[in-house]
Amino acid sequence: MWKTLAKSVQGVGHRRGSIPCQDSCLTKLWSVGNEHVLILAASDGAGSAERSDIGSRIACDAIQRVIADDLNRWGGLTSLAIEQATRWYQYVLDDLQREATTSGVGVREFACTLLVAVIGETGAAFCQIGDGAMVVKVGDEFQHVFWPQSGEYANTTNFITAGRFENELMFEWRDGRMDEIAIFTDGLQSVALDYARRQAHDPFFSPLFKAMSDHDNSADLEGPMQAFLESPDLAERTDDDLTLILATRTLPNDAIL
Amino acid sequence: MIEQIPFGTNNFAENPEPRVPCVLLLDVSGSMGGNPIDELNEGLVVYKDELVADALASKRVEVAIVTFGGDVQTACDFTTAESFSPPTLTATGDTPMGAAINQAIDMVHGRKQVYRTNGIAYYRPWIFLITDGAPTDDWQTAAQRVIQGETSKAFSFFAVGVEGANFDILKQLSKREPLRLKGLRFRDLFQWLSNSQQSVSRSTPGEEVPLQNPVTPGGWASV
Repeated sequence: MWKTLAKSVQGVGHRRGSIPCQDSCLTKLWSVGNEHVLILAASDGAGSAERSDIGSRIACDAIQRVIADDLNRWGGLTSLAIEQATRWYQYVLDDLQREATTSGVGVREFACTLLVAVIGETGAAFCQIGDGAMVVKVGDEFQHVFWPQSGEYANTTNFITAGRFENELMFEWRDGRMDEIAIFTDGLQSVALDYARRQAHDPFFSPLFKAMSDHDNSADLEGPMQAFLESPDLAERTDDDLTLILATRTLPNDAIL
Repeated sequence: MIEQIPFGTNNFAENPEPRVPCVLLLDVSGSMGGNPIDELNEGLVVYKDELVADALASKRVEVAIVTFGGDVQTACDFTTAESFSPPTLTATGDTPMGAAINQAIDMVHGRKQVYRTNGIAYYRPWIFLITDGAPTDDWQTAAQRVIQGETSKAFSFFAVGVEGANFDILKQLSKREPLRLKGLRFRDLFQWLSNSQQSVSRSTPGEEVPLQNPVTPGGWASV
């Protein structure tokens, strides 16, 4: 089974400018056959797009839905290729397009990034368009799956709505069992990643996952996580919206015997 | 002129924040002597004070100063706002603006390379020209490079003319409309520059940063 904690909070800059939180995230645990499959999704709506708060929410919902359908059909999670991820993202884009048509605006008003991890018992799929990152624990080490996508300048990245998203989509299937996974949007990049060494910043993740393993009930950590994301220390480093997802696999009792 | 000792310019390990590089390209030719240069120097102090008052901007905005007056000098190489010490400039000589622009463009390209080598993210660089005269050297090549750089979004180039500046040439120098400084309101100008860079330094992907228009009745510029 899994313990998960996921939160998107409005950045200081957005609070000042009365802009809604444009980040969204969700976690969903599915029981398929005898397997538990965890879906994690995070999306950062573009600052320049008028309805990107809605866009990011639709993106997370839609990708979760299409993946769950596939899992049910397959009866579990097995090794996947990028074509599958492209199909999922196309489904999300279609949903955004429908919403845009209904509201009579261009789909670019729903521009957002999208990071997704689908974690089974013997492997996991990771997909990403845009910035932010996913981090997994491998042995004693936290590793990023992909480095955040960024254009030449720090305020440019790729969005699913930008056209030809399939050229930008990053996909990786990883064999093996993963027990600790984190996803975050770009607001946390400067504290969660070590840019000089181009790797995940261990001092950021270690204490967070320690807290996760120390508490049987992750609901106890909801308040502290909110407080952490809204702390003045973080606000000094970034005033963007912040999203953080933490997932820890809890060992079933019989595995310990 | 007091020589700036470059110090703390490459503190990428302690400060991995993304950078907003800005070259101030300042006319210090003879005609700037007296009040104008004094006001310009005051403006630089205001610029530093405003930037460091903002925790993010002080770590993200990097300032360099190239002066032209008689010859072209790098009065200050790229340094973060927090370790920038505003120089006291003196006015002398003619106006080698073309050479100065070329140097600023070279510095911007070089700085990007340094960021890339060190894995530091960065925003589009600024080159901010302030002059009260007309170039006394070849400026056409520089003008071409400016237009090229603007078109390819390699940097943003702003030109501000003080009383006496040749606006016909300034217009050919930049894609953007050159701005006319009202009187000697350098302080207001640098306050505006700092505010604009504070906005840019916290902008996020996909966000176009609307700069506050300085051409208003209360603003420091007219067109």
